[in-house]
Amino acid sequence: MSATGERATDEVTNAGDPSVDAFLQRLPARLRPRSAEPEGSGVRRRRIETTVLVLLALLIAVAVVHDIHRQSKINYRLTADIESWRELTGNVYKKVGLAYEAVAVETDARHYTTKDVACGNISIAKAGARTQVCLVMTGPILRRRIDGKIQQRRASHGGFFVQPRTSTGYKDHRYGCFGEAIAEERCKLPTPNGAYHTPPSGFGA
Amino acid sequence: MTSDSPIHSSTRAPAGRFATLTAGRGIRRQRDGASEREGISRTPPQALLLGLLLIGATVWLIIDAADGKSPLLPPSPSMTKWLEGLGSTLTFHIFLICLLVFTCAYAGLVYYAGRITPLVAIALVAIVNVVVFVGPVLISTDVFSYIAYARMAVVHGVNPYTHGPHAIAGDPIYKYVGTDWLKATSAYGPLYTLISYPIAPLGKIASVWGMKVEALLASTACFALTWRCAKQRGLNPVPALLVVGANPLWVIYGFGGEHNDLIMIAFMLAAVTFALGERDVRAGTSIMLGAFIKATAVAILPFMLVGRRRPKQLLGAILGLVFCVVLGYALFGAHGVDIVTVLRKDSSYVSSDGFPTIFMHLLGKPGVYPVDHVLLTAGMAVVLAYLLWRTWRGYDWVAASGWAMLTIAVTSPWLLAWYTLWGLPLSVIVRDRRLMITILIVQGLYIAHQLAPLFSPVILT
Repeated sequence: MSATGERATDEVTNAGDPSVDAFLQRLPARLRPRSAEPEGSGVRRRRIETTVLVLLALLIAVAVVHDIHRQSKINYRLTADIESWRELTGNVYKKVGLAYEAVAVETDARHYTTKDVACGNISIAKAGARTQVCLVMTGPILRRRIDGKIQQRRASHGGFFVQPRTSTGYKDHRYGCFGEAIAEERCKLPTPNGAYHTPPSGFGA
Repeated sequence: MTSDSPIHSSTRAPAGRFATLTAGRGIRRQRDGASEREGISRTPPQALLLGLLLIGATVWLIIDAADGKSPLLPPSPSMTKWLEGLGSTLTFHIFLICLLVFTCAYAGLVYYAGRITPLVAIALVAIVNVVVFVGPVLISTDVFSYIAYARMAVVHGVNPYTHGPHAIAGDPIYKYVGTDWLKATSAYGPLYTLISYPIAPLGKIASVWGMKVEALLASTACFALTWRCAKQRGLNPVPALLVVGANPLWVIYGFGGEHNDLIMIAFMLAAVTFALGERDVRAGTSIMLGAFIKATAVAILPFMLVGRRRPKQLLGAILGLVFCVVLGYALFGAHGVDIVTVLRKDSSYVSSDGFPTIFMHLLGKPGVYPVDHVLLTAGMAVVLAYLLWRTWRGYDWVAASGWAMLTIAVTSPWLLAWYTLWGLPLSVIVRDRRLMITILIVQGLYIAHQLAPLFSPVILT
């Protein structure tokens, strides 16, 4: 478009079809399409755009830093959950390969509390291959000196069992609730005949 | 838009500085008909060192990944046995350190990009991508969904647009499909499913290699087209190639995961190169072909039509649309061509890495609610409308397309690393440097967000 005598700043900007552009010349000047932005035009607009971009980038950067901090806190909590599960059940599945590192923690995705459920096999096996004992972890992270090192633990006041190769996320799959898990009605399944249902030895209900 | 930039008005911009990525002396020389290599006979040793660092980080990552058993790798058929035993299990910490080193080296290379010779740039990009090519599938299970959909159509005669992979539960590839996607119907275009057909009858290992070859071809096409577009626009192609080909999210997440986004981007770039070469029908057709690989590509069509105002481009788009609709309908029925439903379904997902989710956490909310989806869509629509208006009034349609792709990715609650790649090749072939800088900042923030485990305790040891 050369109707306004603008000079293209780029040899490959938006050069339209001559017949289409001739037709579009009927539009008011402010609405007509242009092949290129006029030389030196839009400095103020460009500044505004750049300012908005910088502000948005700063906002996202702050949000990212905040989220990294938030995630780190959650990771510390989950680590404390796993270590507490190991201590309370006496099952220390370490350095036996990832497939056997069978302690999984579910966070409270419904109410977004810090009440987590840590589940793992009652004996060493692939993840979920044995009866799962699940402990409900609550409260703040407690720092304790264990074996000369500061370690982090959380309290558990209840839990339940799930049969092998069964999802831990459904009440219908859970049985043998103990501690506060009974009052919280976390189990719907009656204890199956012969199923393992002894609360962990280290459990301090 | 670009004329007021000091970079474009100055011929004294120091070669090799960040400013010369898409402008400055290199471009002036090319405009004058001189070789882009004039004055750049040697790559600075700092850049070579950074290149070696980048290759080293990639090799370390791939060797450790080949050892298997990593939480960062999707369950996968054993396909890199010859690399096993060279490294140790790829832990989160090792992965993130490699990613961090890769990213820092990349940032340095971007800084020196204007002083790197074409040979060194091409060699670096080739080496890094070949290293990833010979390694296992990284990060994502998507490639197994691609294979499953192809096998559903070819081997089992099941329509992947009406059934999820659970319909072929007995298939050997089924156990590798991500658990979240077992019941999900294909979200990809029928053209992509068709392209996957030759891979479907292969065995499970051969089919993964087939997908790797497909991704390699797509990635190479993207690099070649980026180079070509940069030259068509009178820009230095070397920095353009480096910014795209050595990009950590491109190499590790996009190419490492064999994502079909690379094929979609190749069609988008083909459309740009056709448009710049005045081959308007092909330009319009290419966009529609890309949209029938992955629907997002259609977002650049309005910008091309508004910016170029060529009836032939519209004709090409209609031809491409008709071809793909007929093809999709013939192969998969009405569900195979229902892009609207696909886009609606995709926009309803939420990922923990999405910037909207991160922003909601900052506001104290647990995540993105349906009302937030509406607000984000409205915000995106406003930005796209503004970009269209700017394009109508002379702003470069390629740059506007890049901004549009970035806007779609950033406002999506379902942001994945490879979505940030959509606008990247467009950003290096335009003169508005703000686009590339913004995309690189967004990618940097995405990578930073991945680093949270580095600040967390190690559980296993």
